[in-house]
Amino acid sequence: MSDIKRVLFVDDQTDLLDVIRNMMAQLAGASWEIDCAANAAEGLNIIQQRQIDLVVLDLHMPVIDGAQFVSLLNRKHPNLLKAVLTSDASEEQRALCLSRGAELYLQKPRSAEEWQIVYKSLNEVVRFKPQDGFRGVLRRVGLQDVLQMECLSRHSALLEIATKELRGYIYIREGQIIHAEAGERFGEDAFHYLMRLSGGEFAQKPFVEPARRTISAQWEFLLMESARKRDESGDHTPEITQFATPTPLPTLSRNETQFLPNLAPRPVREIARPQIAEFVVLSSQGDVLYDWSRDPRDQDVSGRVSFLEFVSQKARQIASGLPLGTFESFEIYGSKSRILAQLENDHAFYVKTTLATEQEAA
Amino acid sequence: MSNAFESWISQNTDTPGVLAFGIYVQGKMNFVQSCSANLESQSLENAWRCVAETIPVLQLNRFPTARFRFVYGEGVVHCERRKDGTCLGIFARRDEREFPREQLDRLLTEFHALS
Repeated sequence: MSDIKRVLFVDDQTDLLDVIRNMMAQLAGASWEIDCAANAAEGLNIIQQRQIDLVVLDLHMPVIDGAQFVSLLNRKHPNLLKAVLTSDASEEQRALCLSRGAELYLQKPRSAEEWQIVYKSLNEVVRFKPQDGFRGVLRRVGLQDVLQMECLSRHSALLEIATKELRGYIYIREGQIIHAEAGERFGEDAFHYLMRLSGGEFAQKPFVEPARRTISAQWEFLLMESARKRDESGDHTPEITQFATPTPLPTLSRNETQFLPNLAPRPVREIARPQIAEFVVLSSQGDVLYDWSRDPRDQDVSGRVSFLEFVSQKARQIASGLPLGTFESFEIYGSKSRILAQLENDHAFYVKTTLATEQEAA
Repeated sequence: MSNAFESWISQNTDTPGVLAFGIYVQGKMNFVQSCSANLESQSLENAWRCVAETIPVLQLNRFPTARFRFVYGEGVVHCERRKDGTCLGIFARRDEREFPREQLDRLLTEFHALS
């Protein structure tokens, strides 16, 4: 098997891309094959044409920024390694990118030494790709994701959307949405209607020319408008997902629960009992099956979905090559709360408990 | 300070049931020490990097970061974070007969007391 790694750099500063290519080629020698793309669309095309091991992205790019791009790649290509190389040193961006699936968040180098550090870090990641076939990534590929990918890549495709009651179609020609139909609806009306549907499936089919063109608006506008309409309607039902064989999560054995020792003084705990504060259940595809929060102001379902995806990814990477066994749960112990994230074969759940004193609980 | 952590870890590498230790101080230090000849150093470094990356994500979600752990069928990665931000990771056997709770207690207490 070839040990040459294919690394793709995506950055809208083309002069910097040249520098990156030269520096990395010098440091990696023949062990890396380097590709460069000046924007996300170009990057996607390369990813779809070639077997890429690692994508290194700039954070601030036009049309779609790095954090969004990481998220998109994580859903569409969960096994592709992703890193961010940026001048933005903010902790918030770093946390955001890592939570969305980036393996590394690195600062753009300013000296030869820093270039070496960047190369070494990237090389460690790319050399350490988890073994193929390991399962455990919580996938969530939605209709919106696929539409965005197809449009960014300037592809042509026909998306067939099916629910129990209806079958609809969205036609994409060279990255532009040109026609949609759903029963007696046509054009943008049909498009927004299809995007609001829930509980169905969709399939990507080869493009065929529609009988007429009914949409001329830009895809970015259509997707934003569709998201706005969905928000306005207050509809938070699961997005339509791609028809695919579910990826099973790791099998769990229900061993006896262990508890960490209590080192802190515990006067409050002695008179407190735990109450469930938040509960979210997801399917293995990442669809929300159930969510509940004692205080609706704390409700952040999409945040919890992202967090479970992050835990799923990191738990798999941590165990790679170590004798830890199958991942079971991630647990957080706060002074007043506990959080449990658990991944099962066909679902995942997140539960937060808080400690209420006897008086509060009464 | 860094030396104090490294020195403390080296004194505890033969603790029964402990596979490895990791120490992370944001932007300053990232140190990992295997306690078992069977662990590949690259696997361990990769694992510790992933554990350390969990902290900013917990902060982003406004979750507590003082104590968290990844639980696996055979092992547990215990993470403890001091008020000064220093994070200790203990890769250990899950079975209490191999890694007794008292040992974990002791290690965490000593870690908090290090100066």
